[in-house]
Amino acid sequence: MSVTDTGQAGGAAPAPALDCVGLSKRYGAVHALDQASLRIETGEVVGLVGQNGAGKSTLVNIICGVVTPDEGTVAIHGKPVPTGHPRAMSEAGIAVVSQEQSLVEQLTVWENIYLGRELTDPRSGLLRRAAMKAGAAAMFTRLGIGIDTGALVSDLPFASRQLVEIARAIHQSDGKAGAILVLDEPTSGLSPRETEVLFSLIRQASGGATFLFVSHVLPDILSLCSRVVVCTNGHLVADRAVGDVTERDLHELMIGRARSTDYYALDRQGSAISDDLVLELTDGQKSGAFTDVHLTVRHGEVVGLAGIIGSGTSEVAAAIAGALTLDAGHLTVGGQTRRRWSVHDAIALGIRYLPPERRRDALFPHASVAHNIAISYLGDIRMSKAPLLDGGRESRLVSRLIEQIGLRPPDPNRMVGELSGGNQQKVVFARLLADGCAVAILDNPTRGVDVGTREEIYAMVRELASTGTGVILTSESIEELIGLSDRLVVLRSGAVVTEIPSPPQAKPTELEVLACM
Amino acid sequence: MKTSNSKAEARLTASSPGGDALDAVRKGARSFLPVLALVVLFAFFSIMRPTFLSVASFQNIMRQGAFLTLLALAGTTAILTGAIDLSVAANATLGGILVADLTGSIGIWPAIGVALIACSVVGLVNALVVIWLRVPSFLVTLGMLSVLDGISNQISGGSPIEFPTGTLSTLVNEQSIPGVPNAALIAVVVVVIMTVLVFLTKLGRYIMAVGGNERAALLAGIPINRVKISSFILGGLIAAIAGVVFTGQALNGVPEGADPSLLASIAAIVVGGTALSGGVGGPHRTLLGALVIIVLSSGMDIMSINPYVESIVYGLVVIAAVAVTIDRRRYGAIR
Repeated sequence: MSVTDTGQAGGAAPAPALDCVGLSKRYGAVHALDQASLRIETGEVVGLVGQNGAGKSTLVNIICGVVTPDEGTVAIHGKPVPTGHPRAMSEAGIAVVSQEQSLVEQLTVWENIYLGRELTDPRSGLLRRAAMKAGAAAMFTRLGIGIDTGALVSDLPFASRQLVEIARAIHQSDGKAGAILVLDEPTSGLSPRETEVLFSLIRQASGGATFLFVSHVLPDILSLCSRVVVCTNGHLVADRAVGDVTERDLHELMIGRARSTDYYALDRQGSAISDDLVLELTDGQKSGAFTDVHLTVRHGEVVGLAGIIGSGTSEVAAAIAGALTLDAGHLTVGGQTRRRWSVHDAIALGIRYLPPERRRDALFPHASVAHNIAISYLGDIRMSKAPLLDGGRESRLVSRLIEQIGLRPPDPNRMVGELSGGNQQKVVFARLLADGCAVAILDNPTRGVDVGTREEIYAMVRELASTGTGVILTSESIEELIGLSDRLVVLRSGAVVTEIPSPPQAKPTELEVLACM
Repeated sequence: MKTSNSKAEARLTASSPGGDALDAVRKGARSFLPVLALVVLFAFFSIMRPTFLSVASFQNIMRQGAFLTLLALAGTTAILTGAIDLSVAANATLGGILVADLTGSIGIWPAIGVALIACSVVGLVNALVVIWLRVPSFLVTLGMLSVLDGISNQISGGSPIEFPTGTLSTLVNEQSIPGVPNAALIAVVVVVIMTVLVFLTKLGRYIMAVGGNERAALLAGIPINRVKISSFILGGLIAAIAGVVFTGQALNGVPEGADPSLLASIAAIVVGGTALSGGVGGPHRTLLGALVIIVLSSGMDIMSINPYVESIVYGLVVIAAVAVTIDRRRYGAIR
């Protein structure tokens, strides 16, 4: 800080628009971000790339003030800004466009553009509607966006809303010198033509504004940015001018260091126990998520669904589990075919589901470990003569499962909300283990889990498969998917693009898989 | 500039451990506060007015406590699923009116049977509207409250119904165990049954699961609609029992008779430590909460405190109890 101050006093080079120094953030034992420093000069367009879970979102969230870092500082135009205050960041000039849109659907486009900064008549205090309408329309004309500013946002298609969102961010920055726009995956869900409009907006605006552009789509990054920063395993590992790197270089940088094979217990990887299918999804279709997905799983086979966020992997998993209803297609499990099925029906077919976000989707935080586990087995622990639960049977089952999952401490009476992320995930896992299910669907089983627990979860996946259960797996880490799966099914924009075999003796490289995504 | 920053950061770092400490206090409070409140109130009123410790005073507590406990139990199952049934008191009134109206013509036991069925159907309708029309239970049951009052007044013509009270009075007011009115026995039996149901049956676990995390319950394959319907029907059934006890104690059918006890019954539930956000607490806690409220109320009676002041006290107790028990993580704005 003192260096920057003297620099300004001396009238030397201006302070960078954004200067992050030594940002670190831990979640439990997981280093989401480790000593990340990022410097962006005024007017630059910088790309940020990395795999899912590499720490990009954490960095973006710190810059937006949504997440408070454990260490490190953020300075904007040379002035330090308190971290963890979205308002302070926004006042200092940070504007964000993310996939999760923040438009008010019931309002018109122009009302959204001026939301929170309405023009009012100084004497009467009334809104100057005509002036705002005209202002918004003029801005859209200037930027070349062909959207009626009087339309209701709820009537606009997704892509148009995304453009409105970006226009709003640019509008917010219009009055202020040196706005910094953070675009978090703004092109997912956009067609190439719409992406082109977006790019021209950015190029026009970037005379004054500064951009941080987060994307999975490397060609977009290379055509738009002047510089690209690569985030891998919580570290910013590379910072290159776009002229000096190719897509292939970026892929290699994103992969990071290799892991030993025993990490994934490769010696215990079997392959399919028989060629009989345990599950087959035919012509699966869900509008807005995926189309024509055909998926097969054999007994004892681990099938990894690979794809970036929004490619449909999580939705396919949820649909098979009955949590999403298909528009078309059918599912065959153990010889029984269903066209529509609920979670309840899926369980009756022998499908068990580990949903992606345990706190939201799976845990009863105020209930004990025992109750959280037993909830899936209440039918098995009923007394034979009365409609009551048999406490003895329950505690025997629960302690057997607690031992199997390696819960530490192995206390069945602890409240689940008090456990670490790793222990919580093990508790959810215990719901799959007791009754030899036909198919286990594991959506991101290692998300937010420490390294030690990861290895234990890998072992449990192997164990499940070895008993003949067919496993469908998704993961934020491609490395992990390759390590665990017998076969990878790659999805892009909701369609299966290819299948890649992944036997223990001939694993594909991450580069090969990434290139298909 | 620099100092203001470091202050802001200090405030930030302080905020999360502070939240954890508050959580811990809240958790402890849920378990021990009702018992502590009961002891303190008892000691306080005994010292202020030694007549508070008389047999008459105890019997009064048991009589009033029996009705309030039953009414609060009727509301507990819905609250455990994360919903709320504001029509329980009006439903109890309806049950009581039906018994008074029908005893003369069809006899006391068939009349009680009709009341049990009618009140259960009210619970079923509440649940179906909540599920099919996706209206928050708070609003559905508020509407139902008004509908039920209309029906009760229609049946009674707006004035108390006289009826042959002999058997009902024996059933409710006699003392099968010397010193203990039967109403209190009925309440204790229902508490025991409901506590067993909530903690030792599949339905009970499902009720707690739906209240604890509805989405997780759905993804775990729990038939959440059936669970909600069951919880509202159970509430209706117990509301009918509360209505029968009320009519047996009043010795005539009073339109809107049980209605004023709605707030006290919700106070009993939350004071006992059952969270309005669902998934935490249970029927045994409702018994504790009802005792706290009744001791408070009869203590204030014995001290001749103005009834208007009592109303103010109930209101404040509800707000304080909710503040202590509710799960703030459910509400995005906080935290």
